[in-house]
Amino acid sequence: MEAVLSVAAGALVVFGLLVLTIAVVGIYRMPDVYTEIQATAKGAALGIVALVLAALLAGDGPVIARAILIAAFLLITAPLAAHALARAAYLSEEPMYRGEDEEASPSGSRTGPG
Amino acid sequence: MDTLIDIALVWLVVLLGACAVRVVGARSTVARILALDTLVLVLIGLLVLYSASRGVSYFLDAALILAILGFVATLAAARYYGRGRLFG
Repeated sequence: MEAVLSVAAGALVVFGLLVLTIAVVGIYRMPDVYTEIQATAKGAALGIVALVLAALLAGDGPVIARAILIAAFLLITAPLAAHALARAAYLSEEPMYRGEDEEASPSGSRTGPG
Repeated sequence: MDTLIDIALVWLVVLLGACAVRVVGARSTVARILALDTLVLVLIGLLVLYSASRGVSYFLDAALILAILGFVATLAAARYYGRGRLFG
């Protein structure tokens, strides 16, 4: 039982690190702010929740209580923060990526609320 | 398991540095706020893993407070930048 828990915690740590790395690579590689937001909002929250689950498997009473609180709070607030950021980007008329073809000729055809 | 957690801690510090570089060199203000938000999330993961490796729970208190503060800060900065005011 102990060994199974340890292996599961290790696998969760590796998975969480992988997803967090993808999220951080996302903010470097994505072409505009909106795609960066969708890369990190999902990736970072999922990676942290995997790490918290690993700590939960390896921990005892107080650790489990706090780990559940952190995981629940992150799962609730990550979409809210991403929505607020995307809304701020849209209201401040951030340029939107339209694909490789139109990138050469920026037409500025995006219609915002002003 | 201990070696794995040590490697994971080092790797998280590398990710933290990558986020910090992105905060400095962001293309726009929203991208900068997003990079700061990601940096706080990576820091929460670092605290959680450190707490698991030491077997103590008080680092998780710091992680929880950091999660709350990071969320409120991101929300306030995004709302202020997008609409010019915080409320209403």
